[in-house]
Amino acid sequence: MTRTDLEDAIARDLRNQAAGAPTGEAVVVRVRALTAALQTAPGRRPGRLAPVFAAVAIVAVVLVVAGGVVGLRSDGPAADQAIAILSRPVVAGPACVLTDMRVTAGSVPGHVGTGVIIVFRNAGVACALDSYPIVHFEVSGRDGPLPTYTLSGPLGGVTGTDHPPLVWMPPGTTVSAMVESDILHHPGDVSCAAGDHLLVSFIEADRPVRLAVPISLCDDEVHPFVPGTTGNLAARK
Amino acid sequence: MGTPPDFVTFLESRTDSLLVTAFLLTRDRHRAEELVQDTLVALYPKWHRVARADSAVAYVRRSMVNRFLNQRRRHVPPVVDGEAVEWAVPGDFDDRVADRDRLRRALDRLPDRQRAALVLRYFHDLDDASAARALGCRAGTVRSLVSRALATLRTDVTLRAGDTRTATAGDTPRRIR
Repeated sequence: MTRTDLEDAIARDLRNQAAGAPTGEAVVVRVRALTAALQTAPGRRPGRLAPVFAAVAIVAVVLVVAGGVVGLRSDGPAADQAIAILSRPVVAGPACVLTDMRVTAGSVPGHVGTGVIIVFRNAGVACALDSYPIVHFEVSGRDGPLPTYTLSGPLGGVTGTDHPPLVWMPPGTTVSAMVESDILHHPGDVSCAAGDHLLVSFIEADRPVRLAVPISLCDDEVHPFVPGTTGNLAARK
Repeated sequence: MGTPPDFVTFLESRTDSLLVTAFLLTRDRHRAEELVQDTLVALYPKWHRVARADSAVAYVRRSMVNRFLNQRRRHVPPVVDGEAVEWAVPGDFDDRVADRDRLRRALDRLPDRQRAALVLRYFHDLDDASAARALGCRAGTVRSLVSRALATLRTDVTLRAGDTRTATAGDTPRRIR
């Protein structure tokens, strides 16, 4: 069967989208924990295991934090106590929700228009953040091109590991994520659109937070959540 | 009861691949993780059936696609306040980027079953019979789903390429699903 151009474009787009899929390490850990709980609770249906799993998760998090398995160095201010968990022992409690966050953004110093750091301060209960913020761009009120999601780029992100960390956020702590334009492949490229706002959310169902900050839209990349306010995290395995 | 060794092997070797499929279906990283996790945990007590199947990954994928379609039927996502806005692509954008974005948005607007059929056909390269098994329908239904999706995309992408309507200051962005 010969494919049409449209079919080829669909296949190409799906492959591009697939590159943004999460890696399975966290899921493997959670499934292991849940199925282990199933073994100790014969006859119980998976849907009734929430209390068991919650207890396992809480104990595991305490062990993780107390055991110092973090193994990471954050370039963020020392006062920030959000914790990056590289080994993904188990999900670390409730997922953070956007409505509990105070969200701000600013240009990377020396890179106005090419790099933006989005900072989230937790005004709610302790929670966990995983992987990447969802980012859309606006150009004069119109939707801009979609970014790709990568671990790191020239301006920041996560280095020294092959997957985003899980970040545990006690109340009042901050995490950040770097967004950067591909300045290496588009040096001084004036044909790139000039974005003036970012729309940020944690999940697609969120009402996004709109942030007024300039950024050049040249194959932009979004990097993972990291503790602190720098958008940078160097893992030390 | 110990954990079946083939379950552990499957979990460690196939989770990434399942996540890609789940992500293409849900378009959301968190929901993709939940979908894979829920599917595997639900299948765990009857893993002997999976192990007896001709293809364990096809069995699990079929279960996951069904779970996705059933969840979507039950769950209506929250709607963002304000008027819905069709976000037009500015005419001075690079054509390649604009075309890609138009196609992506058109794909996002497809009904779930049509999108699932496209994922199975064009990402996994499944033939009609295999895609039908994954979707729990007949091969003819798969052909129909794909055909309707392609027709929609052809119309959608072509029409929106000429769309010059712009959002106004009072518009509220709403992600069109």
